[in-house]
Amino acid sequence: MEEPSPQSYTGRVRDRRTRPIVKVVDRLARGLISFGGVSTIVAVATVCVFLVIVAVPLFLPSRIAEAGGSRIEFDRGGRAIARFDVDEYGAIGWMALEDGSFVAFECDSGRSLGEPRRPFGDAAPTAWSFNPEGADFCVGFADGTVRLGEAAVQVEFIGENQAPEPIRSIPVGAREFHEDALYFHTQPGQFRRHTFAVSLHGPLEVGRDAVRLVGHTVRSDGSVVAALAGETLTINNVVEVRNFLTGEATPTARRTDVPYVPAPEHGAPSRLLVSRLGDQMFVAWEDGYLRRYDTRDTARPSFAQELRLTDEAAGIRLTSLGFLLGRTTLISGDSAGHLRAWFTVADEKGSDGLRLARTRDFAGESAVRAANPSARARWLAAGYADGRVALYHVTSSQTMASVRFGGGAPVDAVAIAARGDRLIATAGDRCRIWAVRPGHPEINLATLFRKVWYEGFPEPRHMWQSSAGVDSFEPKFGLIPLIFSTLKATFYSMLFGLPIALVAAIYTSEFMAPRLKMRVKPIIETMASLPSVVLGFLSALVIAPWIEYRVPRVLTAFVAAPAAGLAFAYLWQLLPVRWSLRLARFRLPAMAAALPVGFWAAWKLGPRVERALFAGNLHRWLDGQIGNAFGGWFLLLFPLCALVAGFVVTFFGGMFLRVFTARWSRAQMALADLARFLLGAVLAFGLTALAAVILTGLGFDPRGSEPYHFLGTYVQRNALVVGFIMGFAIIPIIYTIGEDALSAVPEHLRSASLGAGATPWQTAIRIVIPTAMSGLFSAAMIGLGRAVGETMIVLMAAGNTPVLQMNIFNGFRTLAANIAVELPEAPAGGTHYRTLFLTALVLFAMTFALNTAAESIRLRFRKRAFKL
Amino acid sequence: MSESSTNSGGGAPRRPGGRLGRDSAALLAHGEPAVWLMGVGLVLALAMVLGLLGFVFWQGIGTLWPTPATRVTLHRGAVYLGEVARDDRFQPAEAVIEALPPSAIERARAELDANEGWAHRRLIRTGNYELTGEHFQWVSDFEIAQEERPPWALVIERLTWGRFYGEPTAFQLLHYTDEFAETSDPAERRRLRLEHARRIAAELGEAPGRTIRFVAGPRWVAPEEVSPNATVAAVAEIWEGPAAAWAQFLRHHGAVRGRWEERRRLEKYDTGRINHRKEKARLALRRREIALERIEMKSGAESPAAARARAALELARAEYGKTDRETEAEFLAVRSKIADLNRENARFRLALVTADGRNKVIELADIVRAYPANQLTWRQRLAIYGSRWREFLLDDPREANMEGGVFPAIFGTVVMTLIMSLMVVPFGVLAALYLREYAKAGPLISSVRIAVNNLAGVPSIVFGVFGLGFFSYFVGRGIDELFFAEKLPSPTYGTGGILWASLTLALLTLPVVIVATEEALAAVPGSMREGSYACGASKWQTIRRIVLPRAMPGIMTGMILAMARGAGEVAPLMLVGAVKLAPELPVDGIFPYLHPERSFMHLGFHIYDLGFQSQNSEAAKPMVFTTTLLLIAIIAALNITAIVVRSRLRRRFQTGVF
Repeated sequence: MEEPSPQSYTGRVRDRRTRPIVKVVDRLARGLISFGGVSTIVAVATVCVFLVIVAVPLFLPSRIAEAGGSRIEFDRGGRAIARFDVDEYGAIGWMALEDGSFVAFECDSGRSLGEPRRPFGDAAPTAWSFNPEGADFCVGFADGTVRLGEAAVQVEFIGENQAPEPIRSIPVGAREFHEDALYFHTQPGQFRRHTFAVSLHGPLEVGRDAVRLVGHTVRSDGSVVAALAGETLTINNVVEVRNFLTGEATPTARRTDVPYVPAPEHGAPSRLLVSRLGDQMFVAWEDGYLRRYDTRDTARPSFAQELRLTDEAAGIRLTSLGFLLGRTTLISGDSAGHLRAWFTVADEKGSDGLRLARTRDFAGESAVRAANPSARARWLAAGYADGRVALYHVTSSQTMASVRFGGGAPVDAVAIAARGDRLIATAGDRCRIWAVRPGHPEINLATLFRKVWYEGFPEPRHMWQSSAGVDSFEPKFGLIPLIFSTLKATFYSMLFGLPIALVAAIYTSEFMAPRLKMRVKPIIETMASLPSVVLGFLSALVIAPWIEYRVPRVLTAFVAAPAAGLAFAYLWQLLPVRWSLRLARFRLPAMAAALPVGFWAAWKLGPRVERALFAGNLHRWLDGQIGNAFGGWFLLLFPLCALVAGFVVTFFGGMFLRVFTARWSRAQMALADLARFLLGAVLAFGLTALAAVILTGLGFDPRGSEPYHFLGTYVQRNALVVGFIMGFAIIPIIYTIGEDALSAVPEHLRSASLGAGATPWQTAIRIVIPTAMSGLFSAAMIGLGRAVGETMIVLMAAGNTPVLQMNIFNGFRTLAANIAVELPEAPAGGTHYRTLFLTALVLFAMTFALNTAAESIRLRFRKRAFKL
Repeated sequence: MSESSTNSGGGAPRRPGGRLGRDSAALLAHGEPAVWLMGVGLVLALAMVLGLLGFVFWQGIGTLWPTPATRVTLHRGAVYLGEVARDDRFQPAEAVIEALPPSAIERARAELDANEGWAHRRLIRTGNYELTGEHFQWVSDFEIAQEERPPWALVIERLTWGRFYGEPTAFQLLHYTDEFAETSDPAERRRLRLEHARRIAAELGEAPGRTIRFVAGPRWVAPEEVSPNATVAAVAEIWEGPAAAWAQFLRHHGAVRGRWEERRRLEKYDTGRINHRKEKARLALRRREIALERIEMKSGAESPAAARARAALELARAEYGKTDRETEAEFLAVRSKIADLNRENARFRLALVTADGRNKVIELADIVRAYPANQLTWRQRLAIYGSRWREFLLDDPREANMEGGVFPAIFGTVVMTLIMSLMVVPFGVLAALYLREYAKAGPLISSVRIAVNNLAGVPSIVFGVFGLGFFSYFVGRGIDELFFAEKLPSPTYGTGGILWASLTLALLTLPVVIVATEEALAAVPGSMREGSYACGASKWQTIRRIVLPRAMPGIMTGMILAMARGAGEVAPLMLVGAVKLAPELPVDGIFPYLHPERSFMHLGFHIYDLGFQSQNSEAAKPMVFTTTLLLIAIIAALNITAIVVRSRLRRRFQTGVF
């Protein structure tokens, strides 16, 4: 359009081209908005993706790979290994050999760290005992003495000026030997020194004969040493007495003989172990026969139990026996390739109230030659006769990884660095080192969702207990108690909130004057934006203490309030038509009056109900101290029986009334209806009482602490309180969405129904509610989603104990509250942290699925309603 | 029905047995009982909402009102003085009744019989925690031998140990004698001080109702009785009697509080400024050290770059030394000022006697507010009420948040909500514009829409988990390593902070804004767009000039609703930066003024912390209720604004449609 356009009326020349700037800006805006929009949506999606990224490593398998320069030769001249260990960093390995010498060597080069130590001189020990998670050891000698000592690689961080001169110049990241020590230059000005040291305490006599076996533990109040010298088994309480003048410590022991009978049919006794606390002592024979002694009182040890660690087949020998972290769980290995975990559990039949039980069994293909636990976690390494080295996590019963020694030479010893990142094994003259990435072996789907047999518990169980004050504590990550609690909170709150929200929505939409509706709806909607922390605080500090001593009244109110409403309705029916029409505007105020009447009745009746059902004191009744099961069954069954009675009376009674009352007047009819209601009430109570009597007579009791017991000990912050206040919290959302769904039902349907002579009630129940059913359902689902994820209310009002009980009077800990309580303390990247992310993901998935289902139902409903 | 009605020819039923006459069936058809049940459900829901709001309002509004102080004497001899916190009914154990004197037993039994075994009791806030170890005391009605309201019962709110209840006995005003440090002879010094004390006493002269004492060590003696060997540290003016003491208290308290305020200012701002300067210098030094280390690692200790870095490090060291000396001097100056103020304030003291006869002297500087609770006029009560509200809204908390104000929490809530809105609105509007105006409608977009909708239903704690893991630990630690390496290992951005909290809540409220904006965009009639296109406008011009202005009120509504949701949310904040007590506000006078990495206080978290984590939840309760009232008021204000904006929007559409 180069030439001027035809004359316009104004005489101005109009440029009909679009100016380039407009086009550019338009394109820019399109680009920017598309980019911004898409990236915002992507950012939102990141939430889910990130949760997955953090949680997924929990399930990745452990990895084991050959470390560089990891094949070394180490000649020990055919001497057997008594102890094989590696330091925390996996840098220095050391072994104690049968002739009493200690040798340390660098793992990567095989170079030895100084000369072999011979702390015992020429005397070769006859028995050894090592602590797998500490430095202490105990040796026995042919002259009937034992000696305690410590052997370990010591690791120190030192500054530049403490480091010896030749070391200072090595570059950062390098390492160097200097005078029996290995130095690492970790960062500028800082060095790490590894030295190997063996120290020894004075000798201690335990018997006259040569010590054949020794076992020990070091406690804060002294050591416990058990020794088998000749045919005498003794247990010794060792206390060090320090001489003030010389500073020399001499051990003194209180010796007690243990009742011991030789068992030659099982071969020679081959192992002796003392648990960490010194409360158990185990003696094992070559064929796997084991005796357990109760040494809780070391002055009076007693025989407690005997059993076989191996299968009863001939020729199977016990090849290894040791402790797992915590020195409570025994790990036995045998020549048939079984690696088994055992620990004591409470058992009334046991002579000391305990029983050693086999809890895990890892089957291998060839004989177990060596097993050594990690010093920081509940996993262990095992070496087999066919050259295989495997890592097992005991609690989660999983094989983490396994590798094979080249050539299949029988493995002599294995060890894991305390940090869990290096594994070292030796077979003959050869040593091999592997880099390990254990990952999170304690977690798998089975430990998360199935019962796990934790140390010290009588049977497998679901448990969540993420931390405790003790070092050897094992975190327990069973999600079932948390998920169960979440469902419990949701169940009780829906039980309270859902009916109220739905009936309120139906009433508002169908029976209320539009002007009043405009006022009422915002009031309830206001509740939706009330911060849940406010509700949580009120429930914990106001409502929970208030309810605690008024439970019978509150329970009665759940029956009395609706009953009062019904009673008022039947009285209202008694009014002549003329009156009831004239008073129609006072119907809602009358309903409002019914509520206080109901509450007043509940207040008055509460103590009577308590006397009748709960022997006058609910709390003691719940503890099971007084009364019988009748009251509990009555309480539990009443809602069900009331529903049944209501159904019977409405259905059959309605039929009867329709057939036989044709000529009755309205007043007669109203009276009949009232009679029907009373009959229904009597029927409900009678049915409940009958059912309760039968169940009580059969010996069932709803009280107790098992998951399926609906009643039990009263805790101030409990499911009743949470159900009440969280039900209250979800009322607005269900109400709003439900009311919207009801209002969306096209008006012409109502008009047609009313025009055909149906009453508003018939229209509501037969036309409107069925049409809006899917909308109401989606309202309920969204309310459910809200209840599942609600945090502050359950955090403050539920007591936060992760127990697995249906008991309405007990506390619980939901997924959301658990995250709020524990995440701030969980170290980033750890198992606990990742498990909490996993729970967040579970919550996310649960609510997202619920909401999506609700949303698609709602959309379909909307489409259908539109079509109508 | 139709049959019979045609037969009867319409009108009223004639045949008594006909179906039309079935008044009775119509009764059943109305379903009256069911409708009533529904009505009761609605009334219950309404009653709970209104009851809860009313309860919070009543509790929140009433807690700051000064109540009278009651003194009760029990049969067993104990005497308590305090304010009644609340009352209750309980079932007393038989042993409690039997421990009463015979006359009281009868009355107690009568009371119990009249109330079915329940007795009335009151919780009295007795204060005086440092003397009794209790804040509260339950007193049952039947235990009381005597109850009165002593006219001179003072309620004292203190900086430490909570409230004090007692009657004033005297007011003490000290005049220090000079130190006379120039003489080295102790006897001479003693003499000079005694002389000075005599001079002060002479200057003070005689006044009715006032005695003068010399403070010599722990003993206060009359001027004429003082021994010449005593060191007189000060001369004390003493007004005996409650009325005189109270009058003196009123005279001096304002000035003392003024000095205390000044001291606090010095401690908070001046010391803070000095520390900040010192810390800055230290960080500069540390930065140089890190730079040197890096260069040494990269190009060796002998390289020229390393030598340059070393020289720079030496310079920084010298700079740090200088700053250190200067700040030390400034610090000493401020400290001496503070010491002077403290010494001056220590001159004024109020002596009191508690209900059980114990004596206690409180320095005026420690008293925030005191009033004779049983002598107050309405106007005075109102003044105290007002001053308490002022303190509550504008002051810092004290006594583990159980007393004082919540200003930092209000401030934190507001700043966080503002940052959140700044983040959420632009991105939410962009996303909505894209979804509604630019994206091609199809199954993908509608599923994105459903997903965004559903995100509104995802529990807030999940967003908190994401915020902690992604913002604090992942992004924050990255920022720390890049820009704040000198502060490591203490994290700057690598922990919870107001920025991360705002971002987390922005994500949480994003669906609200997107949905609201989309609805507003959809509500703009297609005819207007088409009109705009017909005039030759481009798409962006149409959006900017026609669609957005029309949709603006809707967008505003979305923003305000998002703010309301964000302000009330607590669960995610517990993970990403809300703390019990933040030492510094996120905005202050030190460059760069806004400190997005700082942790902050939040009203909702304050409620959680006080109500749930506090050691003494009974004492914290009033504070929690007031805070709750405040939070609800803020959120209600935001919601009401949203409703008003929405109704304006509707009105505009009603008039604007053509």
